[in-house]
Amino acid sequence: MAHDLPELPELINTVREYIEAITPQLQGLDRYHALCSVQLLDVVQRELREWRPLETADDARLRALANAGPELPRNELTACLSEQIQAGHFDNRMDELQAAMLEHVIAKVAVTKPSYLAPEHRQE
Amino acid sequence: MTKQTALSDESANIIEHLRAALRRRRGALVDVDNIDIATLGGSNRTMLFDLVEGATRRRLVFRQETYTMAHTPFLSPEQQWPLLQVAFKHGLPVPEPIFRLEPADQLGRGYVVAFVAGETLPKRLLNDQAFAPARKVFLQQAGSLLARLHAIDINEVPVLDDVRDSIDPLMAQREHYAAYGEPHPVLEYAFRWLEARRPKRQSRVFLHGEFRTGNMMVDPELGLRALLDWECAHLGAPEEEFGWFCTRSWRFGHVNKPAGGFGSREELFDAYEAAGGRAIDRAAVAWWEIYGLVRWALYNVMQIYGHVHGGRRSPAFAACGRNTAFIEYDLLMTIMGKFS
Repeated sequence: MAHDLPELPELINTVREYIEAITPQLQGLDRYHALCSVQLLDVVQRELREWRPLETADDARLRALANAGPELPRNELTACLSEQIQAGHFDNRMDELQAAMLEHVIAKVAVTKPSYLAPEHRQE
Repeated sequence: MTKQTALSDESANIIEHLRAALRRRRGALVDVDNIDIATLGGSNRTMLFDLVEGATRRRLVFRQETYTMAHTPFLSPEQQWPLLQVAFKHGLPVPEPIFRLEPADQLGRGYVVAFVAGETLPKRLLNDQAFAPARKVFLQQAGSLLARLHAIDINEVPVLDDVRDSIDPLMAQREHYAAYGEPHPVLEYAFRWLEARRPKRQSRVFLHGEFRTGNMMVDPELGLRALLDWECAHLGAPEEEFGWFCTRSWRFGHVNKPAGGFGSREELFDAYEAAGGRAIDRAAVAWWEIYGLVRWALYNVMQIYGHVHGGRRSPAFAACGRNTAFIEYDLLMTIMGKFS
């Protein structure tokens, strides 16, 4: 169903603008938490905007690695893969695991803090 | 750090109890004055004050535990207290321990130590022009300090015998990770990587455990003045201490200066060995740097665990949860040899 305006990114932006406006009046821990809050809202914006294709690719990658079918719910996938790694299932193909883990992390960082990625891992 | 101008009822109550605690120990004529409330971290209250005794004043620091998380990797104030005493007795730069809180004080767990002036903020230490003289001498001082700390007979700190990190640090991290219940395939990968390459076990020394840029009080001219934050102390290999100091997360933008953003690893090792420290196994330090990234990632997982399950909430703790991703990125890039 269609909601009335504002759309979700605009809602988030409104809150962000407000926090930014009051931040100069804050001090110490309050100021720090305001800066953290803006940072978190930026994460939300990027996740809304960019996560869908990244998630689809990441989901496929982890599923293939864990040899898990589509019946395994998304929220159990990392737990399933983690158990397999801990049990030593990948000990003979650590290079393959390492390459997949790097791709997995790049997808996460692309949402959380894209500027942190080395140039060769940036999405644009 | 936040400084509050008006004292809340809670703070006023604490100051009353602190005054009573001081009078019980130093006589009815002493008083508390010039109070600064500094809130650091999420589990301690830190308060600076003058102890007034007649015409003399002494600046002291009151540190009180306000929150104990389940599955905490940190030593309690009671466990830290004898460590401070031992380090101080050996002439190491630590704040002089004044007294430990007792039940009669009605202030919970904590202690009072001497105030040491200086700066802890890594960005100021590493970037401000004023700290240029300190930066010149810092690694020399750090190496020498660690050589002296590690030379202390571990029988003087029996409180550390049973600490999980003293027994098996990698297993201790696995236990913390399991307790938080949030699956991280990258950390699982790193655990396997670390388990397959453990350095040979060495005789153990007294480790500070949190020796990294940000946990020392530094004077712009004189350099390192005091080693703070003893809640991660344990017994272990000297290489563990160096690995933590050189972990990429503690370079604060100066990624090409692995020794805490101050300089090269070799400068630090040389200072340590020249001051009588034993020969450092460079390959083992590299392993401990990887371990350090896992440990730092898990501190962040711990913060989001506390935020979600521990009833201790803040935007900073929420951000910690997501920050885990770029620590994992550093971890993989370091293992792959792309970062050093």
